Amino acid sequence: MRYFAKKLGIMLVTLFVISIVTFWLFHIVPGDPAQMMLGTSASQEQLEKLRQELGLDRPLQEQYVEWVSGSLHGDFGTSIQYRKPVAKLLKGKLSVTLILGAMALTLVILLGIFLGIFTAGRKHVLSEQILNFLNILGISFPGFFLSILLIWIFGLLLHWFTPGRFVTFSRNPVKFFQFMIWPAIAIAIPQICVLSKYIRTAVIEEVRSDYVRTARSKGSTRNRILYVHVLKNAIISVVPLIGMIVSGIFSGSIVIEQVFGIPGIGRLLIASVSARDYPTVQTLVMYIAILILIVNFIVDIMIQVLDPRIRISR
Amino acid sequence: MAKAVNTNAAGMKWGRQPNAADKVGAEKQSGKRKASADSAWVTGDAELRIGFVIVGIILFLALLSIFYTPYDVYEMNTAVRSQAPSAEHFFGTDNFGRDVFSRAMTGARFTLLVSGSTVLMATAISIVLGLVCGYVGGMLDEVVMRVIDAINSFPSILIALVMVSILNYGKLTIIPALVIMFIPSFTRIVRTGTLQYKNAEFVMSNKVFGDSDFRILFVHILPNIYPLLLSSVVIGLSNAILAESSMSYLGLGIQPPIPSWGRMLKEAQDIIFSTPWAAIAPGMMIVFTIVGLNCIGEGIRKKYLN
Amino acid sequence: MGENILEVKHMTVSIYENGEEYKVVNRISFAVGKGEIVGIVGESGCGKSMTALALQDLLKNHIKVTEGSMMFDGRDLRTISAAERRQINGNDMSMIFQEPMTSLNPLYRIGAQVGEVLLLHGKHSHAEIEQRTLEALTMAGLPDPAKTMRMYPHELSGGMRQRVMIAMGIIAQPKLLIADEPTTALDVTTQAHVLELLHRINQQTGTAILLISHDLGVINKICSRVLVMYAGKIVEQGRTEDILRNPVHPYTQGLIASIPTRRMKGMPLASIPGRVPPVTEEKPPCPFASRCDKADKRCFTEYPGRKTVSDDHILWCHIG
Repeated sequence: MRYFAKKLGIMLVTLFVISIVTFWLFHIVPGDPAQMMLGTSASQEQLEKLRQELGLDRPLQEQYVEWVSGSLHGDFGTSIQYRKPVAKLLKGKLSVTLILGAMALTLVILLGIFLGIFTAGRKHVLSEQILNFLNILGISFPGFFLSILLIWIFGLLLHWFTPGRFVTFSRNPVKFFQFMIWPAIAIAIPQICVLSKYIRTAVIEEVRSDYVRTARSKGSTRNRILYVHVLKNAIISVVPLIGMIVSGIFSGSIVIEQVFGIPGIGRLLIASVSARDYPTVQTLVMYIAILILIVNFIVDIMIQVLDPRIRISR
Repeated sequence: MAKAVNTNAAGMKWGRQPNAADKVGAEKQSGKRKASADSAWVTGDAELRIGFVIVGIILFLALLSIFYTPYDVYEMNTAVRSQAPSAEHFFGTDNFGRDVFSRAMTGARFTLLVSGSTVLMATAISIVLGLVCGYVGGMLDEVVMRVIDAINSFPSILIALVMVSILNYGKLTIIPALVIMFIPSFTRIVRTGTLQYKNAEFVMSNKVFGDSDFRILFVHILPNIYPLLLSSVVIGLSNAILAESSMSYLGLGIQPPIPSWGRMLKEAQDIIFSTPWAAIAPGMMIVFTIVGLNCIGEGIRKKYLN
Repeated sequence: MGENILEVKHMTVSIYENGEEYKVVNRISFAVGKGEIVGIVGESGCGKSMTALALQDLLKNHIKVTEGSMMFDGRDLRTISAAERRQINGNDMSMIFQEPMTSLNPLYRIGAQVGEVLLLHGKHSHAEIEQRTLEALTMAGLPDPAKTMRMYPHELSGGMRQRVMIAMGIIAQPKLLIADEPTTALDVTTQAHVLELLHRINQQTGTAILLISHDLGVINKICSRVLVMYAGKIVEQGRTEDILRNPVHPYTQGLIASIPTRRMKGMPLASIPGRVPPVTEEKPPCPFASRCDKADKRCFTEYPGRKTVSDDHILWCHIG
């Protein structure tokens, strides 16, 4: 329990540091938000007034405190680009991205583990070289090119879904998933390659270990050895990678939402970066930072729960 | 070996032993030669060869594009709009009648230029940062490593996006934005290598002879880290190409009208039904280049690190 | 004949490497009687462990039994199916390994790992498995078996883990227990306890034990018979007291001379010059000839035949 409290404390400190750095980064940038909102034709008076409204005339620490307390109450400031509260812009977008990410993660974990075990089999039809090459090929496709290929082949040629026609979950759940599975696949493929390679290496390594010999000496079946003894050990050795994989999924999602035209936070982020809409970018960065921190926290707990060796030594 | 300890008379009489040993050795060698066809994969030579051929071709096209392209890169020729690949247009033409092959060649130049200079800068910074952190250690090391950990845990594209949005827009804003992405992993490698060799005997002895810290770092420690760093730099280059093309796809890379693979794909996306080659050509160029670089990286790793 | 639980005849084990075949165990024959404790002794690299692993079909992929037969309880282990093999392993024949630290799965509790043997062999109720696991751990001399059951391997010392391995080995009351250097990784006092334990198990349950060790001192403590192995061959075998009192093979003599005894306190320890030749090396007909100070021409040209020293004491040597 003390371990969790400690981890939680570290997480909050990290979040605090990230918030300061993010805030500071977006407030030292050249350019005046008021000027950007009103355009070059605005008078000095109008600019002054808006600056005051936005609190830009006050010291940086005050602005930071304002921003943090506002954020905690769900007020993330005003978008320069859309002249709307950022909170309103975010509505519904976060859940779309989270669902997309969760779908991709599910694919990565299921297929990564399956392919990892499958390719670890010792008498395999595919040789080491072919597997290596397929793996290199898999991580070499940029997500957006993969997405364009999926849209072209499965959308336009085979008509399995309608490209560019995103349907919200509440309107039609079936169509929503029919559409979302494709970007999820595009996000997942490179990560599946990464994970399955790690699992494969881990399984091959674990199979050679002494406890597997003990299990065989006890008369265990091949499947029991693989699924009861080896797999758990192999999975534990790759759990720390989940943080990296989730981060990769976010990266993929940011780009791929753009290709498929999915109204998630990735797409909003790109639009805001292009328009230099700092309040929105800042909020989105914090959102993603929090999500990443939560995932890392969960990974830490998972390692604790799964691995008795760490559980005791802490 | 066994012969060396045979000091007794009986052992000396065992005169056939060296011959027998030689025979076994010879057979073993011939066995090895037989297996040499597939062992190129084991030593990494095969990967290196494939990688160098691919990267060589791309590099050649990129360099050639400075002096010569089959067609003008920017010229729009309505007479040859949306033509499929043919002898005149290897990769076909796009909906403006521009030659896709010529554009892909020029795109290669700019994509490689941006990713190459990104990785070079990141490597230079990381070498200094890594050597100093590893060698000096202490508080400085602690702080730098924490920052690097933090950057590392974020999605790499997010870092690049934040950098792009806070840096002033310019033609080459993309380069510093991407440099940040690569500093963490490179620095970590240099630092780990430095820690490993810092207390090695040969370094200590040079220290005793009065070599300066600077000399020890750059003359004695750094060369030992090269193989590992080199394979990471090559892999890093493939990641840089991936990142650069993603950013140009998003419209945040090199600004138009300079062609880059990422933007060519962006432009071709809407016309993929009518002219798929316009998207597939630059896309496959990216895939090819990255496969080539990954092969080289893997080859170096196998050859020098195992 | 019916009194033997295990009869190995002309067994050869080969390693395949770079397309070459190297014999690690070369046509050895021996038997273990029901309820008997037999030892195999020799320096490391002599093929002792390979013999043990071959009996349980635990050899790595590139190592194979290429010749001979292994009759266990009336069945030839070389011809049985994989399913039959699984029934024998753990149930009728179990094994304790040299490496107690790594031989247990780090992620499962001791109770589950010991009880797994029963789970795999026959139908046992959950309560029965738990009861018998407790008994096995108690018998293996673990101080607090109920608590140990709930512990993980990393919470136990090497000696404790080896006792857990022993519990695992005896829980199904097998007919033969193979102990491959069970005490090598342990400190001296723990060694003695583990040997005592093996002896007691043999006395109480009648389980035959094949004890493998490089240390004749260990063998001497509990084995009634001993096989001396060198470079893949058995060079001398007989009752332990006969071998110790009247060693005939120069290799056995060397091994005995290198056991420290109280009488020789303060004197330099004798040792055999040289080392065991690697399996890849071509060896003279008597593999020990190149290290033997009594070797003559025959040792390099002719295979030493089987000689009987006394009724149960057999020797393969030109000199003795």
